[in-house]
Amino acid sequence: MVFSSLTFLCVFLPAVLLLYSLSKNITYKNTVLAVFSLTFYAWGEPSLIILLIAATIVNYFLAFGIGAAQNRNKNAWAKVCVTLAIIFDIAMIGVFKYAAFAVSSVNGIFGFSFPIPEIGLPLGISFYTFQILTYVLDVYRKDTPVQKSYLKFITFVSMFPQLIAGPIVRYQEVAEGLDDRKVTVSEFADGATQFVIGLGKKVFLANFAGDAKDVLFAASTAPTVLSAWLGIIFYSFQLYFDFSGYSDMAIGMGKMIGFKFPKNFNYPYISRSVTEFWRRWHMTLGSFFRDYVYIPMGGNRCSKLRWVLNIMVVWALTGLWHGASWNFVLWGVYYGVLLLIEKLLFSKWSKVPVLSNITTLFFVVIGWTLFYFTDFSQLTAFFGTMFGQNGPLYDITTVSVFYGNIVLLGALILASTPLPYKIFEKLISIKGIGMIIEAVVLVGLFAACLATLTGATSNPFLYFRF
Amino acid sequence: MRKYLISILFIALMAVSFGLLAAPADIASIKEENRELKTMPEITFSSVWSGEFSKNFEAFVDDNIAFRGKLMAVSDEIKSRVGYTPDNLGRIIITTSDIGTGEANEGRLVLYNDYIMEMFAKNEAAQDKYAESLNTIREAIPDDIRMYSVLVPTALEFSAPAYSSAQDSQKEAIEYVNSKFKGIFPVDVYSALLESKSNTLYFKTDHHWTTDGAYVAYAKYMEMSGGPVAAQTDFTRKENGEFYGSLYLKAKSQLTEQEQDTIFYYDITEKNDISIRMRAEDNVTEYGVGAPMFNTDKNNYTLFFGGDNPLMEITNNSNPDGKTVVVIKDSYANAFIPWLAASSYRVIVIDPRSFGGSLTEEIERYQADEVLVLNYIFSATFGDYCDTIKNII
Repeated sequence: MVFSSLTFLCVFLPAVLLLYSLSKNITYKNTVLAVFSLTFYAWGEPSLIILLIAATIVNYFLAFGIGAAQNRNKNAWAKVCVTLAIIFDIAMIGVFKYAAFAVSSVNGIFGFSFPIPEIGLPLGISFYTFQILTYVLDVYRKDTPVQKSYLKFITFVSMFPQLIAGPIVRYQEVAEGLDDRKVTVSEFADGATQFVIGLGKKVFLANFAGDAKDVLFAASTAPTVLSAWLGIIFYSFQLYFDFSGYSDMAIGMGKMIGFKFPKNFNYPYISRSVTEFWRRWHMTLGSFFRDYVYIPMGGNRCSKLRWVLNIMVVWALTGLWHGASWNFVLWGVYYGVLLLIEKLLFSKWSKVPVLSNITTLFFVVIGWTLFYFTDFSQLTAFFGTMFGQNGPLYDITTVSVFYGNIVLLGALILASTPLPYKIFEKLISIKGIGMIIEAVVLVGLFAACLATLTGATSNPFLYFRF
Repeated sequence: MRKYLISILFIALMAVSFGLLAAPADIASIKEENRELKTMPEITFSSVWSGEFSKNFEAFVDDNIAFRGKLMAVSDEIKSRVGYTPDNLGRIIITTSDIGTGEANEGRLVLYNDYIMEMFAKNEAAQDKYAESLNTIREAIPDDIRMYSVLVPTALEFSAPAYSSAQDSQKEAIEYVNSKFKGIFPVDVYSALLESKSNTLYFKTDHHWTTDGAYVAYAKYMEMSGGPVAAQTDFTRKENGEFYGSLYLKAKSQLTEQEQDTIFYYDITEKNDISIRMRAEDNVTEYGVGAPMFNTDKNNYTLFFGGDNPLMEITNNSNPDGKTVVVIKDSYANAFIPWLAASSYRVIVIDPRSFGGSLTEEIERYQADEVLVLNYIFSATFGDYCDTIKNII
């Protein structure tokens, strides 16, 4: 189930909010949340819920073991438990996400013909595994106490607003809320507004940009030069508004049920450097790798060579986290190299306005090209097209999509900057009519989203057996 | 005050959203799509565990939301505002296409010069399967039965070069498939359609060809297979009303105005004594005995035989010395069959998507002289359809 579906908006969300609000008892609230979250998770492929539950049981007990060992000053046992937890979690994600990729890579490199395991990727495994890891590691570091209630632990891991697409919520950030939380009317209203804005981003900006990109990339043959650029620009917007829209919806729903989830995006496309871009893009992933991989490896408090190595390892892993394919590794390494070049040679470039924005966006868009194509021959052909090696400059598809989406393109550019939200904030702060404006935006946007989602899956079936 | 207003409004929105589902469904909007309203799926352990229930439940919700047609109209209005189309310039939009086999391909439509046309995207893996399926049939049927293939290009292929070149070449795709045939005679209807001076070969809003387009292909087929070609002028041209076709429904959100198509046919039954029988999917139950070749209750492409049927037996009692031809086909053949029936004794029409019998048994039962496989080129890009063809042997 996705947030931007009629089933979610007309059935799931009303039901969960209604049942959730029936009692103030925290155990009741956690139970409702856990049951709905597991239902939400199991909706598409129910069997995969076994994996999620198994992961929570194993890590719950191992974290319990860490706490118990530390209480008795048996640090060696605590180390054993945390090592086991890390091995289990990495192995789980390794098997379910990377096994096929690893085997096919080994076959490709060494010419073996090992059978490639056919394992379906469990939804959200990259997110929930990392969340579980933050908990176990924080318990080991004594940054957080052990959660004794399994109900609270599985509520944390499976919480439906952020289970599938983040933000990556650390246990510490919600620990207090799991024990006791209250939803104020003000938080509920803020959450509702943020949810609807996120829904609007997803339904109108991401989906429409995706449609425009699909028109340009639908033919099996390579597009024209300008179609390639226009298409990858639309794709860049689609990715941003899809992901940030989901994050907004997650954070909004979090507020409505009494949790404060961390911010995940902060207008990344206005960045003046690649370093700044990564401070603004998928912020919870960046901080995870910083706190749990980069700093433990030594960060920048080491020799220059070691620092270079740390950066490259972190970025290769960041790439790999995004998908089990070499293009994602390449994408991560690409950013590692860019960041090194930027830090070593162009540290002042970000002070040049406009030009630094343009260069940053250029490299980001090139990055999304690496991200888009999992097939290297397609990737190289596409780069060839982008830089004029093959195909005409433009064709009727290019012109049609450009004009046919020119208003959308303007909206995408504008919405990538803080300007619309600042205007919105200004408007809603006007005494007297501010709240009316907010109410109209809320109702209008939600209704428009509902209308646009209606029939979106419709597949007219004509002439057959009628 | 603000916090109360927003909270109450959001709760009201949730209630209304749920209410939309609880209220009566907009059946008219479903009927407009020529399909049945999805009903609440049955809950069983296996359906839940396999994920079938959730899939069907989502389809149920999508269909049963109240005011569906009105909401979709709002959606269309919003979609039409994301850009504009300069005068004399076509517009290309994304859509999905299926041919009733379950597989849905992403596709594009071009809206140009009052025509709505599908854009072709080749799929060599599926095209290989298509050729392989036909070759398998060729091997399974007696050697003395000649087998022909007709792959029909669509309207866009013959449009202005700026538009036709924006898709993958249908000509190349047809030649690609033809080159893989073994012992099958490809009929070059592409050239015949290209050479035709008629401007009524295709509908403007429907993905099918008209009876005029089908006639061009029929004449070419008869020229190749040997046999008398019925003259179009021998029959009365009749019109049966105007309609918006299958592609209009997909593109209407992007259209401000669109001319309707006219459904027309040449009444070959005036000079030929035609009798029709049909068999259901089980290949045993007979139905449609005496069904009309031209169902004038329908004012769209389903006028031809009322649409697709698993098996149709069409006998031309006026032509007892004619051939018996087995046609394996998609809906493109529906406009073609009347012409073929005018020149044959019997035409056995098999739709692989629903046929439940055995092709070889039918060939033997009717003592067929020829087998013709007729599909439009898009069908050869649907992998599951290509597999289905092979499975009817």
